[in-house]
Amino acid sequence: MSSTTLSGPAPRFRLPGFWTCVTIAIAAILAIFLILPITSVFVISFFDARTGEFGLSNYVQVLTRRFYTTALWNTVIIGTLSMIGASLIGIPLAFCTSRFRIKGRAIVATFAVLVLVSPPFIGAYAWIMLFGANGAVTNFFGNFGIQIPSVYGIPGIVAVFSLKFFPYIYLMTESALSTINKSYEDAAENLGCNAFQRFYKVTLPLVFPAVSTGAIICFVLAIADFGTPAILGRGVQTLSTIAYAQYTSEMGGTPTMAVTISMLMIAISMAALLLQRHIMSTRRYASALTNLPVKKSLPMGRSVLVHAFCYGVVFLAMLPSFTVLYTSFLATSGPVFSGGFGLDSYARILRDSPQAIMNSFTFALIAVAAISIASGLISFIVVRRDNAVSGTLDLLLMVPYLIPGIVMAIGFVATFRHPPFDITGTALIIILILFIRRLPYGVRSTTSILRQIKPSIEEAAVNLGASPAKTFATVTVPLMMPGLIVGAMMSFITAINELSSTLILYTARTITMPVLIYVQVINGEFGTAAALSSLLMVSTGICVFIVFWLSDRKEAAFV
Amino acid sequence: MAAVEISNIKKSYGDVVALSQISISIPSGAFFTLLGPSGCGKTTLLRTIAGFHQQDSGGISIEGKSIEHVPAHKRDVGMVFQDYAIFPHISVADNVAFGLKQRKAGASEIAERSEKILKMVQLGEYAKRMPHELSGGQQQRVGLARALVINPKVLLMDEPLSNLDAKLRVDLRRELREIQQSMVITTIYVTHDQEEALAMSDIVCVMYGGIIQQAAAPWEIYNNPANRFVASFVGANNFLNTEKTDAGISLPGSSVALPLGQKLANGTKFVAAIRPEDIAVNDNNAGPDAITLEAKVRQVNFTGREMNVAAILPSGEEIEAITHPSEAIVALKPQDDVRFSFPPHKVKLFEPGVTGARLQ
Repeated sequence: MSSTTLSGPAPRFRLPGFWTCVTIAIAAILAIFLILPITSVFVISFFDARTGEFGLSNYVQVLTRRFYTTALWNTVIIGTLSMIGASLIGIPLAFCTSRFRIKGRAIVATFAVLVLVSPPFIGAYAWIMLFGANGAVTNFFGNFGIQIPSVYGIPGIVAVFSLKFFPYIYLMTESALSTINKSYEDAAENLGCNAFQRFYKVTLPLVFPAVSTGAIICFVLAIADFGTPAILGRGVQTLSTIAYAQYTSEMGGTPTMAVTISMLMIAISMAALLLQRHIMSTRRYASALTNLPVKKSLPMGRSVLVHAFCYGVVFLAMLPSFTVLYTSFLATSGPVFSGGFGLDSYARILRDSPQAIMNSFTFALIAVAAISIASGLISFIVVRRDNAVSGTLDLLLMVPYLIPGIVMAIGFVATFRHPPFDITGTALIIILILFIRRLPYGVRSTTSILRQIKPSIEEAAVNLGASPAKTFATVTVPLMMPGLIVGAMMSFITAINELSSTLILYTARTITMPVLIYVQVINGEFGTAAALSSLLMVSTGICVFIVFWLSDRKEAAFV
Repeated sequence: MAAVEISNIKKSYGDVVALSQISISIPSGAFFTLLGPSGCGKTTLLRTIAGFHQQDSGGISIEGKSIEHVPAHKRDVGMVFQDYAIFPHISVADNVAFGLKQRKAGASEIAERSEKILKMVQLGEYAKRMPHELSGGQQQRVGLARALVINPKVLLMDEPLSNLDAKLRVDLRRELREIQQSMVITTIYVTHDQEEALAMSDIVCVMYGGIIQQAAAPWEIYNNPANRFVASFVGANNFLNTEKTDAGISLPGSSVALPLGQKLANGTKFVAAIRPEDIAVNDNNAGPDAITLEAKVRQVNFTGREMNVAAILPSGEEIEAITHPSEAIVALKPQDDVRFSFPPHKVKLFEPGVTGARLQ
């Protein structure tokens, strides 16, 4: 909006307003810590790894050499199969809990959320402890001469991802199914569809936007994940594991090949997202929510089956977490389990790794504090200031979701290693990457609450004499508070569990719990890894509880 | 001196012109109403005065001082919002005190003035309540108190009663007018409800398409509409097409000439307007001076206080009359013959077109 007038007295010079300054500051922060690292990764990928010549030679290598193409195919196959697996679990579960009376539906939903927020690599190594070559279940069945299918390789990775990521599809589909207008289904029934046809021909297409969004999230997370294929891969390479391997072998030099692989990962994520957008754009449904669906009571026999399915799925998905908790209380002597229960593992992590624990909490808390402030301001700009900048900001904040942690970390190293701005190896670089990667979680939460606050309330404050800055502080922020806290919790959960970017950036002084857990699992120190993981899960669980308490959307707040 | 002087305000959103060269001066202490259909620019104009929109060109001054460069929070104009906009996180008393605190008033002054104003809007007992404990009508009283307590130079109201139910709307309308008159505060009021505008205002300003169509006292607006839009928007009206002939201007089916437009060229087209309440139905006492039109009944509606008789003229045009209920008229059936009569001086002539000018 122009602040000058065309006629009347000559426009007087005016200091830029509060929100103009904030917009500039936010734009600068995003330009430096989001756009710059991604751009530098992009630029580096065009300079040949050996000769330094400008061109597409790196891409040619990545797309032709077997080592890379195998990893590329593995990644796409794992991503696709995991997405399908998660859908096959998530959609039926959503249908059962939204259409049938399930005793303890809240427990099912809570477990789904806990699965969602626990770090994926915990699942990977818990499965090894159960189904690995020397796992508890494998050995148990081995006594009877029964061989359990291997948990290693692509099938194992896909199984772990499916069980880890299905909550995205479940929670999104469930909330869509619970708000769908029941009259559509009634109409289909009235026109002669049986229960299955009704679901397949009417209900599923109507909730397709939610299902596909959940599926795309699963796909993007599955191809970006580093911990699971690293632990379960056993020779199966994916783009994220070779990017990490290339990065560590190119250490010190320019991480050219790692960067080129990273660009490929971004391209795949973008393609998936564009595909979903394209499908969505052809299907748009508006519905007046007049007739909400009701939950049916099932006859005894089928009710037992449905309950068994719902509880079975979430129990199976929670199994790694239970295993980790159980393992953390096993007595150990050094790295070996000595039989019986004890707190040895906890004693050891407190003695040996207080630094990692301290770091994890300090980094996450500082990042979350910064995220809270930034997301409050950003959501105001996005929601209330209707201009080109606010639209761009909204779009830009989608980017961190798409960029795998490894890629972002490599971008940070490539960008911030030149004196006097060399911050590699410091706590600052880790805090900054946590900040930029988890900022969208905060912004999403504050934006959604701000959209519910009527702008006239702020206009009333301005009209009564409060300056824009004062209006924001005394009226907007108090009204946004639940959203701010939920956003803070969500970004804390994801920040404290961060592995893929910190693994690249950490030093002995800045090691965090997830990194230490990863190192210990690789070294076979399951006891302390379990104790650290349990600590992570408990802090995460507390945050989940706070979100449940504050958000009226409950579990839907997590997707 | 005018309290508010608006000169040549222009505002457009892309290609859409919201306000087109608006100029008006509002006398001190007046209750001034902006009336028009949605999208006519009335709310844009009000929000421009409040400083929430910046005009593309033109000037606004309040009590002689230009406020173009004054940001919204320093304009000192009280505003009452359509959706109340009561701060939900603070009490009624704190809502009312908000503006006084911004003006750095002392604690005792704040307490005294808040109490007085809350009594005036009949919410003396509710000071400690939270907004969600109040009904819509009570919330809007808080909105009014909060805007009045700062003694603004001008009070702006954006459809403040439109979210309330019909009965409450009428009660609050009276109360609002009483408070406005007792405080003698210049008020600019936006509404799309013509009855509300006529009932409350000193001056009604009818807007359409970003242009002021007429600004006058309610009586003038109703009885002397400046153009066809005002005649159709304020109150009901029948519009019948006609044209000038050698015999003067008369309505099709009647030989009585209208006392207007004798000097105009033959063939000039007009729209004649007659209000339904000025038409008598099957009136045997209608003299030869009256215009009498034969028609066929389309529908008769009895609404209790009055009757609506809709009929079709031989020309195919529709005409409606509002009369006192009578058993003879209730007995009319569709397709029955009916006679409408009215005195010629009640007919007004307008040029064709939505905003066609009145022929005097």
